[in-house]
Amino acid sequence: MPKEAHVMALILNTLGVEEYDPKVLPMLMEFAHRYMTDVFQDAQLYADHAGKRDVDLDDVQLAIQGIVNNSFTGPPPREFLTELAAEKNSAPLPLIPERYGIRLPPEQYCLTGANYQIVPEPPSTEGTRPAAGSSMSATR
Amino acid sequence: MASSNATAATAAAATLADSAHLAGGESSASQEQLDRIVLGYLKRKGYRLAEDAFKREARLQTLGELSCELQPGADASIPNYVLYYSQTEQGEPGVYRRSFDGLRRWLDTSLDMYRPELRATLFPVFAHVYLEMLSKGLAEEAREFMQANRADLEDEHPAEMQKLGAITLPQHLQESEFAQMLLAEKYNLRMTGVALRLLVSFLLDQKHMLLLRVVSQRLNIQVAGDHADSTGADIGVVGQTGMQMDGLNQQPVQLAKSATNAAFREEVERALQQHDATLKDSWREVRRCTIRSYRRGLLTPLPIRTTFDVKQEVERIKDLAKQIALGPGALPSICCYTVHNTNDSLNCMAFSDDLSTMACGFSESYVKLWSLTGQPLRDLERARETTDAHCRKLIGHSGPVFGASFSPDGRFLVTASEDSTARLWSLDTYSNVVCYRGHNYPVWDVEFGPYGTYFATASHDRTARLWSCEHPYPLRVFAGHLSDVDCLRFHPNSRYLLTGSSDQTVRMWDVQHGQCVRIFKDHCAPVTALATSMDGRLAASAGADKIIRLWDLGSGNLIKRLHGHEACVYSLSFNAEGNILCSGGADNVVRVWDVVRENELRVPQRPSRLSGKGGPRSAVWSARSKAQSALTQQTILCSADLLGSFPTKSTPIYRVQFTRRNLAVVGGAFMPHA
Repeated sequence: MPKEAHVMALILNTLGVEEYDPKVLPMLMEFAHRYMTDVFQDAQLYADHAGKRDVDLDDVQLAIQGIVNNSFTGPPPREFLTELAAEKNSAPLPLIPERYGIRLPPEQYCLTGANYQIVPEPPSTEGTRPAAGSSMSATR
Repeated sequence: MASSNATAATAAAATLADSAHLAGGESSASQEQLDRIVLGYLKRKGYRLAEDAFKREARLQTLGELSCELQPGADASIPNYVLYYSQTEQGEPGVYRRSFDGLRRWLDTSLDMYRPELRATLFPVFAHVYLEMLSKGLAEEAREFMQANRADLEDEHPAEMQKLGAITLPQHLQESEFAQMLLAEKYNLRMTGVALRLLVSFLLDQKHMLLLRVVSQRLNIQVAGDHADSTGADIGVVGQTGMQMDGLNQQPVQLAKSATNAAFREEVERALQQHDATLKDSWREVRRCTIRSYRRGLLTPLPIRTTFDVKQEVERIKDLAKQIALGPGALPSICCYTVHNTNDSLNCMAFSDDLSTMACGFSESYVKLWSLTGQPLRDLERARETTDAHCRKLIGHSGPVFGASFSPDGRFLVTASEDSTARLWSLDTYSNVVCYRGHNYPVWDVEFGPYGTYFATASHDRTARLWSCEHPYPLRVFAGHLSDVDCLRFHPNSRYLLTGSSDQTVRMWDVQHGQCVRIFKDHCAPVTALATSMDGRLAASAGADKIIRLWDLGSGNLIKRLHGHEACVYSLSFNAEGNILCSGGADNVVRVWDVVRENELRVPQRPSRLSGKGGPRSAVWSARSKAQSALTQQTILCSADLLGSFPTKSTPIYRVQFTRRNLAVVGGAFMPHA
């Protein structure tokens, strides 16, 4: 087992995860690698922008902030969700109209539109003549 | 070698001490001085072990060690921290609010695995912080504090929050029985070691010394081994056990099926007359167990019945006549569908009600349909083309497909995916008809309602949502779970929805009002499978803790626990009469359970390894305490109501479903090397 994988296994162990699919380790390592690369690339960009020669701690911190704010967003807090739910649930359920046939939302929300594809014009295959452009020049 | 050396050294030290004692006389050399002399001697001679032993024995501390221990920056002990910080914190009133909010925020973002355990600390900490604010005379702040947190905690502790809310003045503290009880007794909690460490290190890191003091003084946290299992231990203040959920779980619910309207009944009766007059009796039987009237306005609007429904109803009644009676003596036939060469990318399976089609959702973002009848899957749009396709691929999702469900009439399929959408597929044209957006995070499960038209989704955003096929937006949002909602099932009368979550609870929601009407708490791991019985009285839930739990929906009580599975349970299903439960999971075994029988643990049913020494060993096993043996993995006991175990070769069971004729259909993906 490579050293990084071992470290990852230890991290999992300290968090109380003792059983996991063997595929989890490579996945986490891949993630860690990508995350580190992203952070350092961003940090490099920030450093370049600030006109610094070397990446320093501030750049890395800024890069981490930028990434965390964008990609590790958890679900909205519970209060917000309960508020949203209360608002939504205050309206009674809409009655189901007495009509027959299948029930679907209005046309614009459906994917039922005519399904067509543009058939590309088949390349002319008359005999052994070359393609149109060259034949034009040949006739000229 | 080392130990013999050490004993020799201690012997030497003892003689030396004796001699020093004799020589020095008792008055001049105090005991402590003497100890130091001995220590110096041992150090000079290089008797390290003996020196350590002596230090321990004599409890000698050098000044350096002493100062190091008292210094808060180093690894000082918790009491010292509390001593230092409680002084500074008590000055201002805002600190209570601030530190409690900090704790709550941290709990909300904590690891899923430990959140339920950690969250259990929230109520006692809140109660004690509140009482402390009152006792300090901060009545106004306490009121605001209560207002801010009441809604959050009321779900789980309605009765207690009400009692606490009644205490608003310092004088009430003496009068309120509840407050006195809280202050007199420690609040019992159970937690795993890791969770406790996380909590303490958070409180230390953030310097929430006030909360740390509350935790250490007021809570009695027992560290459990593997799982924080709520069974067997008293949670909460002594004498208050089990009272927590009462307020919520006593709300009235109507579990019977709603009566069908008269016109529809007539239609069905006429149709039955044409088929077979004897069927009418069984139809009456079905109708007998429905109730006639509901309070107006409570009913979920249901679609009107069409001639198609009449046809369906007739089919249903015919099936009823052909239904095989199951019981402990008559186990169901089980039909297993195995999917090969999936490369571990199969996520979910579903069977249509008439067992003509099977749908499988894959990680590669597509859904595959298989015909189970041998009839090719005909496409209405291309009806003239004679295809003999027994398998069709539905492409449309842009992420792994986690859930699929057929509509009761078998004309639609709804699927849920990581791309946070649910999609409706027409099975007449095998095309995607509607894409329902509303969740912002992966959707884990989806199910069609028992009357069609409605379906519900469960998502990572900690909500479940109700949709109607006719509306592109959700009609109801069921918010309240503390973590991902992993699975859901409709109640057979379509008025309630059951959801199982990673926060280790099962909740039942009123569809019309969107409120939670029941919370079922007993699991000690995420809930991954749910089932409701056709009569609407029972529900079964199971999850990563391998134990199936049977619930009485009316009273909200746990009926029994079914032990026997050796890995996570993926799917559950009741038979039509509701006396047999079928389960399947990651341990590659389909198990059949007796729902009715009272159970007690019995000796293991796996004789393969143990049969040689059956007698004495099993006696020891059954003598063990129930909770303990259930938790240790090697000694999985089966409860007495396990009627049969049917192992597959190497196929985890993803889906278990009873047909109306009481045939059990199960399905899974073959795992070659697992």
